[in-house]
Amino acid sequence: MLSSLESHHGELERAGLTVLAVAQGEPKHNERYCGSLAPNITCLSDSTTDSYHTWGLQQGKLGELLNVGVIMGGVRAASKGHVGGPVIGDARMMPGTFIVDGAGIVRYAFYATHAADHPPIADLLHAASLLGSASN
Amino acid sequence: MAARLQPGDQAPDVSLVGITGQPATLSEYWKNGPVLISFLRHFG
Repeated sequence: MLSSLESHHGELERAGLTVLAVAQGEPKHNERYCGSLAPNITCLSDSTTDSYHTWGLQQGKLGELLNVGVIMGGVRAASKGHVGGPVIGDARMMPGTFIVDGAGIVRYAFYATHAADHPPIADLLHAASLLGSASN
Repeated sequence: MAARLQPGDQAPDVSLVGITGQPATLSEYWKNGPVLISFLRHFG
């Protein structure tokens, strides 16, 4: 997801969104990974996963962590040159993506159905396009 | 366990740490306008 956000950060920002990534681990891990994979994305660290739980995210079950979709996601990542390294954080924690407006109201919520599940960028751009009409 | 958030819910603010070690809250960002927040699975 991080590389996809980096690839599309220009479109997302033109749509009015500031893009933030919350990652597990310490700032030194964020500096290493975000700095190389997503230099245009603001990365914030959570060394406890407390924020994940607060946002309704939870650890995946076996079928959510290892299935065809996850394997295919790994193949796609490897084809782009992304290879795995030591795991930083809770490998069972599932990802999620949200859009929040300037009043702090959730306008879009995506909870992954498996570990490699991410929202289409088109869905994020569409949700961003609705922000103006929602505030009118 | 917190319930899943739905569109229309108030986003919960949380305290995090920036890449240089400075404390940060999510509300610091959304008070300046809409934000996309992606909670990543893990590094590795």
